[in-house]
Amino acid sequence: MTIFNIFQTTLYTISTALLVPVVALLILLCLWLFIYTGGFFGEWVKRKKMKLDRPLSEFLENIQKMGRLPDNVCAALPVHIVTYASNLENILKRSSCLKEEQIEDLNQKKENALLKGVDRIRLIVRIGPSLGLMGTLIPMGTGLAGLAQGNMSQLSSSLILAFTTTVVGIFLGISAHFFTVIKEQWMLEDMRRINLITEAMVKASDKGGPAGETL
Amino acid sequence: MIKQLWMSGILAAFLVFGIKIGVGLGSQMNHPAISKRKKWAFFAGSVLTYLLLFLGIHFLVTGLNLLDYLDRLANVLKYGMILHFILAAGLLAWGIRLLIQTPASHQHAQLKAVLLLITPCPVCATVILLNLTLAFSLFPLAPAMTTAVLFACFLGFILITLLVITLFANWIQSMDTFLGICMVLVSLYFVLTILVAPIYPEIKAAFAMAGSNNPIGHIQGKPLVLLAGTAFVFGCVGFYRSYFSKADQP
Repeated sequence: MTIFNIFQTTLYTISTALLVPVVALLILLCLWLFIYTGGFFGEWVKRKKMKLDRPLSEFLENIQKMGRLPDNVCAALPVHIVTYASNLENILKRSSCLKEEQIEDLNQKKENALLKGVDRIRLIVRIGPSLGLMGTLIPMGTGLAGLAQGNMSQLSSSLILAFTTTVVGIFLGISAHFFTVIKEQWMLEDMRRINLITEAMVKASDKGGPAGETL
Repeated sequence: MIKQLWMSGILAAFLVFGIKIGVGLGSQMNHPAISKRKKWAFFAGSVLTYLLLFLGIHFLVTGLNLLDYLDRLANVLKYGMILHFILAAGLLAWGIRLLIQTPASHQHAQLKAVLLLITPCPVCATVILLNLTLAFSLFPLAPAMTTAVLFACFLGFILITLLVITLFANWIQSMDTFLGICMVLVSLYFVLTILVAPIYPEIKAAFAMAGSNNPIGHIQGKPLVLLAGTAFVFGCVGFYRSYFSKADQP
């Protein structure tokens, strides 16, 4: 047995050992994607229902005067933006010399949280097709080994597995890409709203408005 | 039974007419300019009309031997096609009118347009008649039970369409424009069926030839149903978590 044969056998063993985890992961990712799809449509319906009758920019003066989000705006914004606004309000009420840094920290934390939400699905765009490709190439090896021994049934079953994993992987990739595109649009829209709200509330605080009364 | 219903084309026919009526009812039920009482009266009236139509056809099929009247029935069908074409032309004209009118005139409900969409035309009635006749010969159920099952299916399609339109009512900016688009689409479908109907036997042969070697036929039903069921259940879990969650999650 030459050293190269040992390498080949080792690689073949590693490759075939990966088949079960790859197939299991593809199935689990499919199930996860079903849940994610439901969640996505839930959020989509929510966003369709919660619509401001005017753009948020038209409410900025109102927000600045009140130092917080008006109730009608709260009702038409996603919960996480309303929570962000109330956290910002709490920071503005505090008498701290590092208020600006705290606001910056809160804003960046929010941005990271939004990015994290999109990254979760963006990961599947790459992982899905990669697992599909792995699931294609591993059984091809075993199939070719079967062909060498004249085992046609092993070849056909390996090929079936190879093609199906590719299809599932690509399906995961396409679906995840679609969700990523829409989610990114939502994230940018939310980020724009958050920045507008932050600007308005901070200006209210600077002018000694309601939020800054305790200063 | 569902498979037989589908294979015989009964479900497909009811699906088309169910969607057509559902769209008409949906645009009326979600119109902001109509009072709730009028909406429900209109809905109940429409359902009752179709129930009476089903019952009437049921008694016609069970009480008469239709084979004795086959020649007359063929004549009715021939004229039915002309009426069908007139209805399609009416739908198209009204649909275009709704689409090109100014938004200011969208404030009042287009009752005539809706009526045109939900009125049981001669072809609808003939379809129900033929489907009932076919179903009586296909199913072991009692005729009255068969009629009830078919009416339930028909009503189910109407209600599902109505539910979908209600869910997306916020998304639809103008109910009249939506109704106009639907009327144009339904009329185009009707015109298409008129054009396709005479060459149907040839289509059937071509379809059988194409269907003999298609990969869809090799799909096993049970695993597919299991997958669809799993996707639906998991999707509902995700939807519930997202839609009803009060958590601070982006």
